[in-house]
Amino acid sequence: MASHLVVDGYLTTRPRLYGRGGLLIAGAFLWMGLFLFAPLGGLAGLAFAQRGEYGGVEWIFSWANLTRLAGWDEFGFSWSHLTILWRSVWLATVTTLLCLLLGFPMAFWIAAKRPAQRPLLLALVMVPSCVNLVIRTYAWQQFLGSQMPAAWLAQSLGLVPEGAALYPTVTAVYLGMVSCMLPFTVLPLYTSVERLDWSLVEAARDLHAGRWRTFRHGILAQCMPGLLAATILTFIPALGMFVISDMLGGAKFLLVGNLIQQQFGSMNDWPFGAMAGLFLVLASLVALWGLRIVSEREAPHHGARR
Amino acid sequence: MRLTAIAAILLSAAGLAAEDKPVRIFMYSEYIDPALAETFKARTGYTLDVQLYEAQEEMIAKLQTGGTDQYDVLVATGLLVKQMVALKLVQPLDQALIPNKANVGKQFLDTAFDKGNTYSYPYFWGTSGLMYDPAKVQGEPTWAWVMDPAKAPGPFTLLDEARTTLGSALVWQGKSMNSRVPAEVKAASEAVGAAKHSPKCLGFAGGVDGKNRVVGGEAVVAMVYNGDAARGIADKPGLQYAIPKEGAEIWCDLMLISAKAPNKAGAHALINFLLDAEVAAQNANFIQYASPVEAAKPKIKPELLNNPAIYPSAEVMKRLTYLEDLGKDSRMWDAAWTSVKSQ
Repeated sequence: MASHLVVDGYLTTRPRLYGRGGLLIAGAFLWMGLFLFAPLGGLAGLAFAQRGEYGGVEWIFSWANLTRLAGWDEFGFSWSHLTILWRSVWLATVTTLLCLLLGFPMAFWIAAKRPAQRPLLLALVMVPSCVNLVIRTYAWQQFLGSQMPAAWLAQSLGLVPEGAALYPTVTAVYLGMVSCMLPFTVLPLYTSVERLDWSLVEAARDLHAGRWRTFRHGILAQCMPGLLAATILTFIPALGMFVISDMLGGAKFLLVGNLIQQQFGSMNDWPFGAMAGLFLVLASLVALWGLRIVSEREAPHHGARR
Repeated sequence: MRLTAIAAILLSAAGLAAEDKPVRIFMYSEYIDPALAETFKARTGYTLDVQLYEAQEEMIAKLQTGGTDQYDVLVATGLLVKQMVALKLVQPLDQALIPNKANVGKQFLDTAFDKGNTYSYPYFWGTSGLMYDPAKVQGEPTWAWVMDPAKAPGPFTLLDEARTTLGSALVWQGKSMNSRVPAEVKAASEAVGAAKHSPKCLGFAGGVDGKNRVVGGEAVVAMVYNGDAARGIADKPGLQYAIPKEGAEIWCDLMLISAKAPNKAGAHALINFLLDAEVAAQNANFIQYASPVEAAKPKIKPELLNNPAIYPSAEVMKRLTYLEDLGKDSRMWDAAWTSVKSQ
């Protein structure tokens, strides 16, 4: 006979309690299973299969895609793939840092405005995201074109040759990347900054902390959750982005996103594309895990209790 | 023979009975004259239903994931035929139902990608070459303009297509566009890599983008498809398009029948209809690509027919090569292209 329990003032049994809990999480569980774990499992399986002679998939287990991603191809070892992976991580890291540098002051600025103005300013941060990414990037191309004021200015300052456009350049790529990712940095930072407990900052001042220490322990520590969320929301999408570097960088250099697209597209090598995709997923998970370790070390303990 | 005859009678009877059955054709957008739908309906009784794809890879992916019963006629480039046959996405044609095949020019029949035309008949064809500003270049058009930084007359773009761009580098180096020799492909990839690092290189672009940059004056020369060039020259008449002296790619889009086509009789009727001399001429005048239907030529507008960017001379035709499916060697090409774009 099942023993009875009292939970939240109700008399119930353990199986009934589990049944109710199970029902509550079933939706999320099914969703995750169907749309996250099942496709991920499929991707992992495909990554160790082989391309057939005319495309298609041959279900023969092989490590070949892994060694190929590491750099062993038809011409022996090459740094190609490792260079591509490194370049993607580098681009995402620099983009994230630039976004944080711009987004942090922006979040403070918005938080310092009168409460009635803040929603409008936040909406303005979000508005560009309503336009399709490709169209926004086309707009950057137009803006940076040879006949536009920005290019004239650069031409008259002697920064670029006469009649040249400002893209494809590395600067144009970062311009596109930062403008695309900035909303995802500002919003989580803003929620942190808005809830900042200024009495802790005053306490730091009262205890004769210098400017840097006040910022570091009084402000930055409190903003850590928002900072981490902003980093994740910026870094991970930036890692897989390739439209911007193609359109503003002249498609001269591959990123991991291009590599995957190329395999599922013109090269018709789904298994190798799956392997590169799997790598991207794993790299994102490692990045998340690393950030979690940092956050556990840095998290302000009073924050958890509030 | 008798079976075919009976089948033909049955099929034509079915055609009369099932009048409103649509024939679904799967192709790029703006790749058929919409006015032809009415003519097709009047002649065969079938309704034409045009379904669009943005890229051929998208078409293959849709068919591979069970879409072969969604379409009747497929338009695909010749390079893909072997793959589509191997993946069982298409079915052999009933030759008796396509009498208009007699209208097709000989050089477009029995090609390397479909010997005996078991699966396909040609739809439109074209080339990839160089579009340039004649005021800023000297001498005969050559791949050196975009492959040799020292000889580049000014800023240039390359096509963002592995097979076409590496293939053109191979042709420039006097090798086959369909080379299977790793050393040759590697040498071609090194040439393209060196061109990419030249300050004159504005990068890899699609045909439309490359054309726009020449029209806009940012590039002096760009690797483009002839259709893009024709539109660019219409925008800015002084520009030119040419097949480099070393030779170039010729491509041909084909009509095939989907493996599980729901309306097989209608699919044959549509292919036969589009190979009709008058229909092909009307279509070619609208699309402005080159038609492989020889019998249509008298009715194609002279300004199109005399445009060397669309219909190259017989002498130039000799320098054109079809890309072939490389099977297992395509991985070697992939590695070469990746190395071009990674370093």
